[in-house]
Amino acid sequence: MPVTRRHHDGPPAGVDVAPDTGHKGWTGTGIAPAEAAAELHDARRDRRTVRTFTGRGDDLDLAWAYAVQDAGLALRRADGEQLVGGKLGFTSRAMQRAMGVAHPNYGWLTDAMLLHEGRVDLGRLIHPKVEPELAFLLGADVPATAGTADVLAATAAVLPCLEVVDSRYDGFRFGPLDNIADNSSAGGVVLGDPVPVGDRDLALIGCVLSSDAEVTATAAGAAALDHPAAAVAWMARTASVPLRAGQVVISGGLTAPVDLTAGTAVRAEFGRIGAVELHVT
Amino acid sequence: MTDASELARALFDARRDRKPIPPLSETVDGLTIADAYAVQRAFVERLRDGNDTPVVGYKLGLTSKPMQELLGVDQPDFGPVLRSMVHDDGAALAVDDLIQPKIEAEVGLVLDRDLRGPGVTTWQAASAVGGAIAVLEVVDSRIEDWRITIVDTIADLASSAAIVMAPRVVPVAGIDLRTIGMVIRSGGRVQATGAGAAAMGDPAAAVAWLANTLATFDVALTAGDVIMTGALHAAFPVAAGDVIRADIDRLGSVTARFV
Repeated sequence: MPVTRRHHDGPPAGVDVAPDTGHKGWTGTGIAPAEAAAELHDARRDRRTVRTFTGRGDDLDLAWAYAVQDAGLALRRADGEQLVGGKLGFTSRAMQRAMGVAHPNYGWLTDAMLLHEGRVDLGRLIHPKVEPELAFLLGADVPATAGTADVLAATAAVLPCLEVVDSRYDGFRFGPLDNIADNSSAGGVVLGDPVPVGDRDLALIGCVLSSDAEVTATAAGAAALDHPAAAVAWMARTASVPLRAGQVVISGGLTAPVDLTAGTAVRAEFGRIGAVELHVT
Repeated sequence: MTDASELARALFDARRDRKPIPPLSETVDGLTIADAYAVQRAFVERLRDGNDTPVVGYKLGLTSKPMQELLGVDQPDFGPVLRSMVHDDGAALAVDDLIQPKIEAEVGLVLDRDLRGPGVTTWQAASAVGGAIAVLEVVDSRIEDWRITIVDTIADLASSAAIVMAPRVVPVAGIDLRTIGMVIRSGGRVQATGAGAAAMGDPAAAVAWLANTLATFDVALTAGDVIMTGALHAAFPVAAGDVIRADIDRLGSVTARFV
């Protein structure tokens, strides 16, 4: 079922106006969203990369990019995949600076992206990386006007998460619009055990990323848009369709992504929440 | 090498006059880590000359993998913390007293018991620790443009300048120091985040390393010593007008103002 765009017509609260917001519909002259989505869909299935769309000289904008994403989701659903939740990208200031954007982006998760028993097969991906995140299991729909407190009120539990990101673009290099079109580099997700938020301050939850038992990076929840629930709220306010009870939303990488290599065990520990592991085969 | 006291005098003068000097590693041939600690001791004696400001603890530096890689070393370093360097929460620090200050947030650990190396393990260190405290450390280099190697920073008090401590020490029982999160803000804006494990994988491991390293100088850690276990993020420069606040999970917050 195709989804329709709702409100990309204004920047989210608390985020600076960026040059690439403010479009109500794509009026450019480049590759049609459905064609771009098919190209990315085939590339992912065949484990090939493609040239970035923004590198082809077309006149593209934010509305185009999310239209490609929507068309890509429709292709996955046509293949029998179910929508299970959402994901945030570019939630750290460092990543936003690096990409030249003033706001995050979002993408969608399907059941086919869930990695079972914490295993990821490199043979099914192109050039994957991994990043630790906090995941939110929603116990209620999140209103389209949500703030941080609304998200916390709608949250049944938080879960430790390792997100495998992968890009369908040559050399894992792309512009912000290409990234959105490519479903925010979604690849796979491994989730740990859910725990209620309780009195934990999610901004201060520590995150320790280890590779084969060696600490490779640390962070705290505030790395995701100053508060992981604020990132989820941004998606609820911005996305084309509401975030629903039962969905899992992953709130954005807390550290820089780390390359995945075969034989490695990657572990993310979250203070007072728990740990999750990914075994690369 | 040149006499340690001469090098210490050059660093002391650079600190007093706020005129940084070229790296010792460039001006002195073959300066070893042991030599550098000898310079540090002479520097500390000079700082304490004529007043009785005691050593209240130690600071560790280069405790994170990225910092060690940056300086091409595989070990941390340490310097003493003098009472005269320690400030209360909310302190106003004058940048004119400093050369090229940067700031970093750390977990401070307070010992309940003496700890004497060699052979101290992480669990032994952890069991000697009674409390933890949120700390902001102002680092500064008496070496031009922070062009430091490990011997430069060791000789230069491990680049330490001032310590601002949270109002109270929190008992560590039941706290996993590895996974407590840290957020540091400048003027309310998040600058960096981290977790305890950034310090040698475990702040208690940093204490064990210190106890074992001090043992080579025949020095023991004693009950009441406070140990700054190393930055949980990349240090960043500060300037007059900056208000820096670090929040550490379970430990509370600490603020430093620069004037």
